[in-house]
Amino acid sequence: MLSIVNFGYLNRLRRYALTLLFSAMACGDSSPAMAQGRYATSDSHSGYVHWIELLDANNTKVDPTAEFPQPYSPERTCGRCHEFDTISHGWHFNAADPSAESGRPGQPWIWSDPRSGTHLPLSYRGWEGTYHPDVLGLSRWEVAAKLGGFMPGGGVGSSQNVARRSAVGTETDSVARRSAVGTELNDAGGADAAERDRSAITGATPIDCLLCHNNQGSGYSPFVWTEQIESQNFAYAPTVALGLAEVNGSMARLKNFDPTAADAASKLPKLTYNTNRFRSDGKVFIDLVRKPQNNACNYCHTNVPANSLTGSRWLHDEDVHVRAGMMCADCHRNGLDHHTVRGFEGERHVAGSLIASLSCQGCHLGSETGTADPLARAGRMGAPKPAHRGLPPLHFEKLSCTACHSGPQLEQQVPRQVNSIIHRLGEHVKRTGQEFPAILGPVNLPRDYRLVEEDRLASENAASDTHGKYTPHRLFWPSFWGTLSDGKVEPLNPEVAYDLVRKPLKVRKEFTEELREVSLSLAQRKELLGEARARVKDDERTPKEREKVQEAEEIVREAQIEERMQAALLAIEEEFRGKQAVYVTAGTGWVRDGDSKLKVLSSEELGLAAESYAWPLAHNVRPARQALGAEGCTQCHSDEADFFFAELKPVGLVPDQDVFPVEVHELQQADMARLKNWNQLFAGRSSFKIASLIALAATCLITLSVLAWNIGTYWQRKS
Amino acid sequence: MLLADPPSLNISFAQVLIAVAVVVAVVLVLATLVLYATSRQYERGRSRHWLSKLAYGAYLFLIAALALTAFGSLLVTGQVLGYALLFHVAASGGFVFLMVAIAFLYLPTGADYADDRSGRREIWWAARWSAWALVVSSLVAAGTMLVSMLPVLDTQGLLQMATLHRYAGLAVVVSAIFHLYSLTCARLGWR
Repeated sequence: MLSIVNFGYLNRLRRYALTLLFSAMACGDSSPAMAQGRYATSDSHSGYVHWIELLDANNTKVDPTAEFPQPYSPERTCGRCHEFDTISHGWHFNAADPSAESGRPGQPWIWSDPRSGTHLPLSYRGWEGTYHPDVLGLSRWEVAAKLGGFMPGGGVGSSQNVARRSAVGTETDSVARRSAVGTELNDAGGADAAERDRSAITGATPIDCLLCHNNQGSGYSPFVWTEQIESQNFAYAPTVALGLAEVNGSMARLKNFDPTAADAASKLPKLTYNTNRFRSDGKVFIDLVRKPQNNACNYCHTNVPANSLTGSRWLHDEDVHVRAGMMCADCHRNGLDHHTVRGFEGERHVAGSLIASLSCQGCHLGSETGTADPLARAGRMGAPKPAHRGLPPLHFEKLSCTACHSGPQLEQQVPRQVNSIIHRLGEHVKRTGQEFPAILGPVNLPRDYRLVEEDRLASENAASDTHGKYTPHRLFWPSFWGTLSDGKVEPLNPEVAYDLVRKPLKVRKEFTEELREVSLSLAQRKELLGEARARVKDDERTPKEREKVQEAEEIVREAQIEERMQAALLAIEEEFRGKQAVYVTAGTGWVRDGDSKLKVLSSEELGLAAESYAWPLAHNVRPARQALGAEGCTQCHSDEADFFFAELKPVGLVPDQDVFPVEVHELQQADMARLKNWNQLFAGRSSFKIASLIALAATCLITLSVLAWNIGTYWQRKS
Repeated sequence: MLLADPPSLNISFAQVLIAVAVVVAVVLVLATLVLYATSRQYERGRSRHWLSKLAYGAYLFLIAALALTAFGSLLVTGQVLGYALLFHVAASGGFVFLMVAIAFLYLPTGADYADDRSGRREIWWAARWSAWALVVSSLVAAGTMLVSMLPVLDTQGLLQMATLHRYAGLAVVVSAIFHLYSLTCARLGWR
């Protein structure tokens, strides 16, 4: 019974070792073996109809009628016929694997804690600007439990990874290389160690193959998966998401649970299978597809303009490729190894596969001939070759394809977007588009925009370098509690921070809202409105009274924020002696200034830690006629161009805080003097073209006339 | 790949640039030696109107600026970008309009041929032919860029046009050097 909470990783390690041994013996090189797989396959386009037996974590057939029926284990069930160990090391699962390729920086996991006003970008991949969870002292289990609802399982929450929960010390070297934030502050502080890693109770997060391979309309619910992971019902999540059973109970509520106790089984969440789904021989029909459908990808990879949530969604268009009938997996494909092609220019596939023609440029602009392998040629799936008539080829060296073709149209004020993972799209709630953290985009930035200017200029001058190309990004400004020492900000473990600031902030659920919330005491109202009107409800007050109350509330609010923030910062400083506590949000920092004041620090004083983190976007791709520049050069080459001069307004979490808008060119570190001079040249470009044509025609006329005259003279002299 | 072509062209063009510079220098030195060795004191060439000289001077200055921003940048960084490109484009406007004046003023006409009746001597052939080369190459250099600015050519066409522009630009510089040289010789009475 309790096997669902056992790791069984010794067994798994043995099987993994056998797989490797088998692969090595079979061909000496693991990759072809990985690509082929060792199991029988149907190899038909019609696919295989999956009437299969469900196996639990003990490799025993699931009995839906048992008193305590077991959840099915995708690893055991799917792993009977599929190379589970190979699959489980693909891109969606290998984030925490130090030997995995980091790849181009992408969307980080954001540790959001609305109670403490924390939105911290995390990544195990060492992407510049993100924080390594190990260094912050977040256990693998914590990360899996908090963020695993929008992961397909395995990976950080896999048995191998949670087993390394205390590996911070042993991995110091690699971690230090991959993250700039080495800190002893976060090693083990905060919540009780047992609470920081409940893997002994919950087990590992299983990989749920059906999260991606479910057939739309099959009844599989990805949000049920998310809910179950967040309830820490890791082992139950695949079964319940598939709709095979309902679960009653939550592992998250099992406090002081002893898995070895005699009555342990009765305390665990209970599954009730829908027995109608089982055939008489105990087999179940699993409605799945080999190639993931768009809805599966969209569950985690949806990005929509925030304003579309307020009723205008129907006005927005979908990606032209999707419109043309393509699927995400047509380009973002993978082999058995599940190393999904990300599709950016210059991507190298870890298995060495030919993927150049699966990027925008490779498919639309690459060579149709000259490559030995037809799979490397351009024009796949009917991709048209764009003419780009009149567009100086220099643009291809400065801009990625997506800069002109992807994302929403640029606007003067960079708008907010909502994202499925960050804003938990899929959850059935009312949204306003103003949810935290505020994701802004699109903003065209060079890929290495976080580098200091000299380094970036050096990379810009390298002709073959793709890092300097402008690419549309989404970005956000992190918010977190940390310490400031020698001008360097280091974030605290968000759980540690919450423990420390919870009481002084007097916040239960929502930092901004509750910090903002003030109500005047009766005595204050009496003083303000007089004895008779003090008890009158807000909606019964006169406009003048309301104004008075609002003004008074603002003063109280200001004092309240100051007082609570100071108390929170003091609590941190008392815990970490000798360090200055800081709260960072929207590129601004708050520190204590003496005993009774708060001081605001600018982003320059806070350094890189307060900078925004940006990641590239590639979808939705717009039609060619809506590409940037389709209306002419001055769409970018003018002093009002949104490409360079759009305004980004950071959204801070401290109520009524002053934010300092930045223009895009500041992040781009563009040479504004040069840009503005360029823009001058484009101001009269149309007139210049006409005048030049006239000059050219006049020169031709003069040249031809003189030529005719010379020929005439020559013949005259000759005769 | 489409975008891999220009850098390889740049490299070969840089070699062409160096080779042409060497050849031009050698030819000028040899020509000077020959002219010096075979020189007789010819009647000094006629002096032009100051406006004509001014236009010519400005034209040469612009050619020098265009060459420096384009070829200099190509030789140093392998590409024409940033301020080099900005100045190149800014200078090209003046070049296009002065080209009309140069064609009008400097292409050989009746006044440049011998006239037995007045005893006028024919202008040196090098000056005549280099004037033609200068105007024709200028036309090609300006024309290729102007066509590229119109929504006519696709990327491949634009790349070819850019290559043509480079070689036409080189021809402008070479013919300008020889034209100036031949005019100077005539002015000094060497030919």
